[in-house]
Amino acid sequence: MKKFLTVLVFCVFVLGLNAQDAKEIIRKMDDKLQGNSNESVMQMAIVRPKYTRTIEFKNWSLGRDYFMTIVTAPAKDKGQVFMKFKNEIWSYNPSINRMIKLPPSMMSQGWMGSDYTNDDLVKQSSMVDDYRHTIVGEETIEGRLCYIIEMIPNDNANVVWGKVKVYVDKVLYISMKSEYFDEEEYLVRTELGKDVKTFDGRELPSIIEIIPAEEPDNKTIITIKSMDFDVDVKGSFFSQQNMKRIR
Amino acid sequence: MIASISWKNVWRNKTRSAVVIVAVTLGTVAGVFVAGLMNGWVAQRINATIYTEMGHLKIQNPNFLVNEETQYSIKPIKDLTAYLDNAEEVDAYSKRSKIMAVAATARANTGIMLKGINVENEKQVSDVYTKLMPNAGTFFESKSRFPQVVISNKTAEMLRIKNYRISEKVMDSLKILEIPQDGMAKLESIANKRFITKKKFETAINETWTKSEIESYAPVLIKTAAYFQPRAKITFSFTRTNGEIGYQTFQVCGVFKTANTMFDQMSAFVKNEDLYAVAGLNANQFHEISIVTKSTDFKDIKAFQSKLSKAFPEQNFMTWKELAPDAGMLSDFMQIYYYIIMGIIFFALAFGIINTMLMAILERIKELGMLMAIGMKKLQVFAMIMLETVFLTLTGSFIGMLIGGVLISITSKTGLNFSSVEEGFEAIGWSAIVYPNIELSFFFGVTILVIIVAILSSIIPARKALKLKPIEALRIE
Repeated sequence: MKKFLTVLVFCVFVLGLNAQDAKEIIRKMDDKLQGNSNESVMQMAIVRPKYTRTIEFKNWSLGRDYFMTIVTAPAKDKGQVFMKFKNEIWSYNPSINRMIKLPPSMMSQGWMGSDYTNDDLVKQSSMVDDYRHTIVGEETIEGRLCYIIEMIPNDNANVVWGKVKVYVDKVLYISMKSEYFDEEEYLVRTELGKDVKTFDGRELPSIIEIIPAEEPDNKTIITIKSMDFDVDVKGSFFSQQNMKRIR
Repeated sequence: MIASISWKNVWRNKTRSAVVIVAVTLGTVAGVFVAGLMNGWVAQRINATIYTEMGHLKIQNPNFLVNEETQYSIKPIKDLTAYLDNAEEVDAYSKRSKIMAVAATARANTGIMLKGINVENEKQVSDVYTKLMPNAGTFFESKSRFPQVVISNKTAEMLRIKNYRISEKVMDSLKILEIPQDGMAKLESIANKRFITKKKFETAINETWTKSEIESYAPVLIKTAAYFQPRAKITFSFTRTNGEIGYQTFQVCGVFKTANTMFDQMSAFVKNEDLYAVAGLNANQFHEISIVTKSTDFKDIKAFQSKLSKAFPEQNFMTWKELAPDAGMLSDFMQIYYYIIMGIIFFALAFGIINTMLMAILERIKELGMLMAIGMKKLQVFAMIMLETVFLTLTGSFIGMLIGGVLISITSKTGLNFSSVEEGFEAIGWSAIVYPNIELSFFFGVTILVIIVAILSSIIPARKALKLKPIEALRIE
């Protein structure tokens, strides 16, 4: 009986530890990318079978609730501003001088025509809270040893995926690969992290590739040009007035 | 006396009369059957409009008609429901909260109207619950920890929840359907693979099967291999009453399919208790009340409508004819349309009848001269020829109506299947399987029409006969 109890306690302990660990790893990964506030310059290439479109933009973010993006190239889209506030996205288009709040109907459309949806931008912070995490193994990706963490959405979470598998670097806590599955556990989308570089003292993959599983000819490649953490932006920076002002 | 002479005259040249009778018979059969077909179709469409989609009367907040926003609910809801509970005109009614939402799965998304219902009330008003697809769940009968949603076949296709897979079970049922061994063996290469759209599945079949195999077996294969993802979940996003975006995930509980793709595409049903709180509504806020009245007579519905709008002037009341003007127009116009079809057919036949009667007159000039010479009056001659025409045409049309009626009563049981063009029909809301039917009054109408046509077409031959002079006519050899 005593032996059984010991085993039981041990099991609970190990399993609990494992679950805790996995959640902790995801949290660390999430924090690493986020910082308290950051400012970054990125380039996004939207690859389609017949053409490739490149967009450059500058981002500011504060905590998890505030996020602002201004498109800087190409000239056609230059000056477009997107602001995220909690779970709303506002968009300002200078060429028509209009400020709109994106309605639910636009939330699941691709952002600027990419494979990233507006919803991804709004909801990405729930990686930690909306899933149950388990470590299911390890694998080497791009020469880096990674934990494989399986994330199953909680019952009450509003997540479209059936399962998400994240490959997190054991040392740096950065996501090298994420695989998104549907309810029947078929692969829908893969996100790859490549070419780890140091930005403002943090090592991050400088290239993120998003590949829809059913259309392998379509891709979105995001390249981080520069990224600074804990920069000086205040909550007041994220206002509708400022959306019209920033350059 | 004259009538009996006319009747005998019809059968003097049997072949010639038979030709006209057969022509009239065929014309009548065609006309009656087409009218029956159209009538059955229209009746089905109107039935679906009322008993599946709309109800006889619908109550809405007038603002909701302009802008389908969540905050525009029906206002004095308690008074209104109390009124409806006591009104003797009402058979049943169902309250629904309606929220325009975007449905998203891992692969696709689409706009949809979420309808929060009370399952029992809804069943009394709308027969959607009888239109469930086979092997695709129930209408809120299964228990689940999740909030449940019933979506349409079309929505399932659009959200990529309807997939195609040749599983072992499918293979077994295909074997029963006498698909040759050869074709079955070829399918092994794509067996147990999942295809998320019909198009992709068709492409895969095209690659493995030959043309003749595709032509004879592909539709069956596609039908048997289709399945709905078990326990599929859909995340709906919508604007809450306070303007924020709300999210709620529902598990698919059943899949329905009506004959109207437009209705299917826009409708998803959930239990109101799962919906109102996440949408920021309270349990007593509804956007529409659909009423089925006891009397199906449109005059009574109209009277009830004006009674209601006097009692509750701030709400909007619409009859099914206003809600679905196309169906309303059809129900008013169709009767005239059938008579137009019959009229055109008989107009064409009239030329044949005139020709035959002219021939009959020319053949009998001497005889007509004799009749006039022994004292038959002009009116009697005219009546004889006219009656001869009427008998000739009526015989044909009676046989025609009989055959047409029998055809309609047979097909009204078996139904006529137009499933090869199903998609096109259902896109405009018409059922692909038609059950023709026609009212008895239509046959009376046709009989009167036939008599009129016969009288009109007898004028020329009769005039010809009346112009004969007895002396001259008698001399003709």
